[in-house]
Parts: sequence; C-alpha cells; structure tokens
Amino acid sequence: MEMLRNLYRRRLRTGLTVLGIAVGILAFTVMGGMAEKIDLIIEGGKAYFTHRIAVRSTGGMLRLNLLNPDDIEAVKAVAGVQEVETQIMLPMDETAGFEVTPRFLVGVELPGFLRAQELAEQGGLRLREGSWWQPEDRNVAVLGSAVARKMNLGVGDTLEARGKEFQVLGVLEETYSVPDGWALIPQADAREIMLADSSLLQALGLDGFVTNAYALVDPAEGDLITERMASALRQGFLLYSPQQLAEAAGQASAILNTAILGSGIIAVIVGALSVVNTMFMAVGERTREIGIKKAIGASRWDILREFLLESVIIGTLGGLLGVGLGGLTISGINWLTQGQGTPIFLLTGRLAVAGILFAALLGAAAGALPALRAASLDPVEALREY
Amino acid sequence: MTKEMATSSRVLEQGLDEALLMAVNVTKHYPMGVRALDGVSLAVRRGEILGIMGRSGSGKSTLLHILGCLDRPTAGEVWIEGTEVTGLPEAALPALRLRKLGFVFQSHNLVPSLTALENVALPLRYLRVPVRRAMEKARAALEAVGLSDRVHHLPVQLSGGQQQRVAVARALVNDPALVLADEPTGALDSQTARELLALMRRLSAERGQTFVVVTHDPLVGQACDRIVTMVDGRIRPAV
Repeated sequence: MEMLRNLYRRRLRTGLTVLGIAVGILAFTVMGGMAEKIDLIIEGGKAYFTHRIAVRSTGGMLRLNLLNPDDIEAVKAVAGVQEVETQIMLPMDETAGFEVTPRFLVGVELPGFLRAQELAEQGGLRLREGSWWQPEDRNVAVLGSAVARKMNLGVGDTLEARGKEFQVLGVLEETYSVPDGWALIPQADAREIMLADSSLLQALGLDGFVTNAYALVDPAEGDLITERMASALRQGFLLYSPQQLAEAAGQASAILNTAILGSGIIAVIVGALSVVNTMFMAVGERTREIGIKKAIGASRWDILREFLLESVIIGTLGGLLGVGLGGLTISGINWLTQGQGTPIFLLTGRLAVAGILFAALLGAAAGALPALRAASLDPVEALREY
Repeated sequence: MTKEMATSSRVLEQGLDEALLMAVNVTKHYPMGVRALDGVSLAVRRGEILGIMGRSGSGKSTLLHILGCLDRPTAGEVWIEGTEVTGLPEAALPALRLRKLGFVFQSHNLVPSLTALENVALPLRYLRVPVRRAMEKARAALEAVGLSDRVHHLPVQLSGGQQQRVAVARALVNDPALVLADEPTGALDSQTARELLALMRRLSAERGQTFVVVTHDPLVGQACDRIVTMVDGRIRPAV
C-alpha cells in the first residue's frame, strides 16, 4: 500500500517511467509475436516433414526439375517406403508478387495422396469442411486455409486460376505451414496446365512426369531409408531425410528468434534505464524518511525490500501496459494484413506471460542498485536531510 | 564534585541494575581533530526524564545518536538495561533499536505516504507483528496521545503539534525501555510545545516511561526531572 501511495504521489514521473518500460515491452511483444508465428510455421513444417523423405530431381543441364514415372517406381521399391505422394506444383498466380503464404496449385493423385495423409499422422492434411473428389473427377479443388481466407472462397464456390475454373469441394484444416497456401487439384488438371504453359514439355511429350515426390516412412528409420534410396536411384536426385529437414528448420528458427527477440529485449533494457533513474531520484528525495525508518529499527533488508518492490511494481505495470498495447498493435496489423490470408503476428499466452515477467524482473534488476544505496545509507547522515 | 557528576557517579556506584542507561567516558572524535564528545559519563534511572541542554555544536545531538545506537563512539561504553550496546555487531543494532528504543525528532518525523495509524504501526511492521494486532496497538497508542480522531490522516493533513504527538505515539508503540527525543519542541509554538511536554510528563507518570530529551528550549528544561548541560563535548559542572 505504502509503495503504491509513493508511486501515486509522484504520478507523472511514475507514469512516464511505466510508459518507458511499456514501449520496450510493446516492441518485445510485437517482435515476439512475429517469432511465435515463425515458430508455429516451422513447427508445422517439421510436423509435415516428420514422416516424409523429399525427393527432387536436380534437373541436370536443362534444369527440368521433373521426376519420371520410373523414378517414382524406383522410390516405391525401396524397402521401408510405405507410400509415395506425388505432386505437380505450380504457382497459382505468377503476377502475385510477395505473399506471406505463397499460393500454389498442387496436383495430387487420389487415393494414394489420402493414404499418405493417414500415414503422416499429425503431419497429414485433413479436411476442415467439405469432401475430397472422386479419382475420376476433374476441375475440382480442395483449398488450404490461407487460400480460402485470402480469396474468400468456401465449399461450393469456384476457384479461378491459370485460366481454368475449379469447383471448391473442401477446405483444409490450418497447418500454419506451407500447405495453407495450396489449392489441391486432380493431378491430370495440373499436368494439363504444366504442358499448356511449356512448348518444350509439349515437344518432349513428358507424360506421367511430376515435380515433387515424398516417400512416406517411419520417422525412426528416416536416415536409413534415405541412404537406401540414394543407392537405389540413378544419379541426379536430391534427397532430404526428415531429420535433415527438421534440423534445418530448427536452425532457421533459432537464428530468427534470436534476431527478432534480441531487438525486442534491447528496447526493454533501454526502457529499464528510466527505472534506474526514477529509483535513484526516489532514494534522493526520501533520504530523511530512510533515516527515520532506520532509526526506529528498520534493517537493511527492510529498506532494500521496500525500494525493490517499488521498482518491481513499476516494471510490472509497464509490462501489463506493454503487453496490452502489443496485443492491440498485433490485432491491428493482423486486421490490416488479413488480405494476405495468414496473420503475420501471433500473441500467445506464453509470450504475454513472458513479457510481464520479463518487465517485472527487469524492474527488480533496475531497482537493485538504488535499493542497495538506500539500504546502506548511514542513519545519522540520512537524518540530517530535510 | 558537581551535582551532575555526583548523580552519575552515585548511579554508577549503585551498579548496572539501578540504571536503565549508562554512558561511561564516551568520546567521539572526527577526522581533522574535531572532538564532538570528550569523555561523557551519565546514568539515567528508569522512569526519569533527563534533559540534555547546550548550545548548537556542544555535542548533545552526537551524544543522543550514540545513546540511541545510531552512531558508535570512538571510545567509551554505553549500557542499556545491563547490555553493553557499544560492543554489539552492526547487524544487531536495528533489532535493539526496535525493541528497546523509541525516537522523536525535531520535525519531519513521519513517513509522508503513511497515515497517522500506519506511521505509528511502522515499528510493529518491522517487528513482524501481525497486521491486525499491530493496528490495534497503534490505535491505542494514538488514543493515548489524544489523536484517536486523526488515525487515517496523512502527515500533511496534520498540524505540527499533531505530527509530534503521532511521533510520540510511534516511539511508545513497541513499549521501549527508553525514548530519545531530539529537540521535540523545536518546530512548535510555545503553547503546542507546552502541550507536548505535558503529554510526556503524563506518560512518564502513568507508564514509568524513561525519556532522554536533547533541547536548548528552557521550557523543556522545566519539564525534566533532571538537566545536564553540555559545553564543548563535555558535561559542564553545575555552578
């Protein structure tokens, strides 16, 4: 109570100090919101790739990064491969420019694709609404969540892409990863678009070719099966085991998080310097009071605790305000960029708690030196102050 | 032998049991050769109001600080209730002040952000007395000084005299053996000063409370049971 009254008596100064911390925590929260989103995307990616070995062609001199049907059969024949998921992946709109979640038309073959989703467990794509098409259906689509949101499409609507129309049969659950930007279509439709766009491919007559393939495997055997696959296939393939993909994702996540959170933390530390200043001023102003308290029997610890608590209160108030403002900023930016289909920032419970705790701890750290000074004042000297 | 010296010697001879407070040959030197106290000896009996008078710079406040364990002498001993406090480690002194001593200063005695009741309860807070019990005792102490209608007022809402009475209540709330007052009437008009002195006399009579009062106010002198006068860091022999 006493601490709150002391802070209230100097409310302008307290307010400005709290604001200093709040601005820092605001930066921390917004930056952290971005890191949390990136984390989620990477975690989604990791889940997706846990059961998958990615198979890509280097394309050789012509850079035709395609896999032919014999290659797919060779992958299927490797011991331990449970299913092969083939895709023809094409940019949905080549004029779209930068997209947070890039949109692709992805041609897949049913029912093999659905079996692969079952085998991939938590890394499998699942329907949120609607249904899948039948193997012989054409010009139909199942949309990733970001595509549905960005293009404002739902079951029963028509997706227009690359000069063709697709009837939307279903929408996928959000994965927070790359597949949110996919529109899944029958592979025959995708092949038609691929061939129509390339006179070279038409001339070569590359029928049955795909752009990507994923071998579904038991995650515990990922590395072993990747090695087997490497020796079974002819030259000119790039293979990525689940472990390699997870490691690469983990490294990217760690570097990004350090960079993003680091800049937020610097902002908070700058804010904390105002707490140091405020608390030193408070000690200076209340020297007489400290002298009286010591005279009547307050120990060093009693005085230290009083000043520390005050700075922790300042830090916590700054943290609460900063997280609140950060939440508003994140909501605002996400609302402004909702056209992208995917929110850019994500305010999680752990981020909010971390922001408030960080501010409180920093308050304590910033108040430590002034509090020590107060606690070590000589009572006789302090009593001379008026 | 002077009257004061004779009294001190008598108490010293009677032994520690008789004296609540004893200072034996207390000396305080500062760097550059300044002698604030130069061999001061005195004894205070339980229930006595002792006045220490003298001009500014005579060493009376330094003596009060040493008697109150706020400062240490360069040489000599101070005994409170049979314990030699000058030999105690630094860390033991706050607890000693908390349990055995009460303080009243000239002005700005109170913590501005605390109400009268909270100011009085402050020593009990440091003694870790449960809040409800502390508030009861603080309320009773304020009642004893006639301020039961001002318990929730902040210092800024009280007159100078009322503030000093709150300080007296705070000094008494932990039932100390000894209350040390440094110019307690220094910032009061004569009427308010008389009222405060009457209060101290009443508390001394009713509770047997011992006071040591540093002052240069003759009015305070009249209210004391005994006066010692300090000149240049020594107790002046009476003429």
